[in-house]
Amino acid sequence: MIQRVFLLSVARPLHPLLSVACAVVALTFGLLLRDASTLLPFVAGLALLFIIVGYGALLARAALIVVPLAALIGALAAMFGGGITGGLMTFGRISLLGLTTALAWTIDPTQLARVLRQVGAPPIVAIGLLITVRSIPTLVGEAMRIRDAMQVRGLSLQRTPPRILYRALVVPLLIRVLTLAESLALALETRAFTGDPHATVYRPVALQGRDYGVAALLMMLVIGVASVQWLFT
Amino acid sequence: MFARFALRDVVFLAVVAACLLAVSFLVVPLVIALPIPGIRSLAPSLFYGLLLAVALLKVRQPGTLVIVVFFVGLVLLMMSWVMFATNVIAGVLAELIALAVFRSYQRTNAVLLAAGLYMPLTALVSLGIGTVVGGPTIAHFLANPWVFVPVLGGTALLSFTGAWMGLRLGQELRVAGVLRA
Repeated sequence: MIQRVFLLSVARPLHPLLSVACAVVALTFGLLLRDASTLLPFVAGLALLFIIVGYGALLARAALIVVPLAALIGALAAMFGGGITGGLMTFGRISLLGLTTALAWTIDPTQLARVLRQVGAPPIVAIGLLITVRSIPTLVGEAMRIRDAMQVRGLSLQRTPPRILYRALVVPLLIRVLTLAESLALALETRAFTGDPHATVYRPVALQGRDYGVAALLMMLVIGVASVQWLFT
Repeated sequence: MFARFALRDVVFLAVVAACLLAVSFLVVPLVIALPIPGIRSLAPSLFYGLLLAVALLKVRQPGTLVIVVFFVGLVLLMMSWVMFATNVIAGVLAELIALAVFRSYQRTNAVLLAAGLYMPLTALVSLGIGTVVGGPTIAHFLANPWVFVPVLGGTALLSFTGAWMGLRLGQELRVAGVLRA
C-alpha cells in the first residue's frame, strides 16, 4: 500500500536501474562522508535533485515520516554518547536512508524485472524478485484477514496467549504461504515459463534523456561535495 | 546455482522471502529509533528462525538459505547496499557453517543450525560493516561491548527458538499433507 502511494506520487518514474544506481551511489557517498558539515548539505542537495526531477510530492510525503524519525534517532544517538556531532551525523544518515528508500519505492517491480532480463539476469532471478516484491502486500493482506477472523471469534492479538496465537495466526498464515507459492508456480508452468535465458523481453525499457540528466546532476553533486570536503580538510 | 532448483521451489523461496520482508517492515520500525547495535536483528529474529526453518524443511538442498536471503537482499538493495551485504554475507556464512557440520540438510539439526544461526550472524556482520562505515555512535558502542553482548545473546536465543518452532510446525504440516518436500 505504501509503495502504491509513493509510486502514485511520481508522474514519470526514472529508469528502474538508474533509480537503484542513484540510491547505491548516494548512500555509499553519504556513508563515506565523516563530517556533518558536508553530509547535511549533501542530503539537502539530494532533496533539491528530487524536486528538480519532479519528485517533489514524493519528497514531501517521505519527509513527513523521515524527518521526525531521523530527529528522534539523532537525539537518542546524541544522548547515548555520540554528542552533538554524532546526533547530527545520525540525523543526516537516517535522512539519506529515507531518501534512498523513497526512491526505491518509486520503482515499478514489473519494469525492474524487464530491465533485469534486458541486462542479462537469469529469468528465474527476475521472476523471483518480482514475486518477492509483489507478494509482500498480498501476505500483509492475508495476515490482516486472519486477524479479522480471529477478532470475529473473540480473540485479540494483545490478549491472546502465545500458544493460541501460534495456532490461530501463524499456522493459517503459513498454510496460506504454501498454497500461494503452489498456485503461483502452477500459473507460471501453465504459461510455459521455463526460465529459458533466450526468451524475449516484452516491452523493453530504455534510458531516456531525463535519466542521463539525473545521472549527470547526481555526479555533479557528489563531485561538488567531495571537492568541498577535500578543500576544507 | 538456480539451475539445480525446480521452478516451484524457487517460487516458494521467493514467497518466503516476501514473508520475511513483510515481518521486517512490520517489526523493525518499532525498534528503529533505539540506537543499539544489533537491535534490528533482535526484533524479527523469532519469525526469521521459524520461516527459514520451514523453507529449509521444504527445500532441503544446499543453497536454499542463500537463495532466500538473496531475494530479501535484492529488495533491500534498492534502498541500501549495506542491508543487502549484511543479509547475503550472513546467509552465506550460516549456510557454509551448517553444511560444514552436517554436509546436507537431510538431518533436522542441520535445518535448526542454519535457520538459527542466520539472525545472530546478521547482527555480527552489520556490526562489522558498521565499524567500517559507521559514525561516532558505532565507535561509542564498540568501546562498550557489554551493550552488544546481551543483544547478540537475545537474538541467538529467539532465532533458535523460532527455528525449533519452525521444525515442530513443519512436522505438523507434513503430517497434515500441506508441506511436501
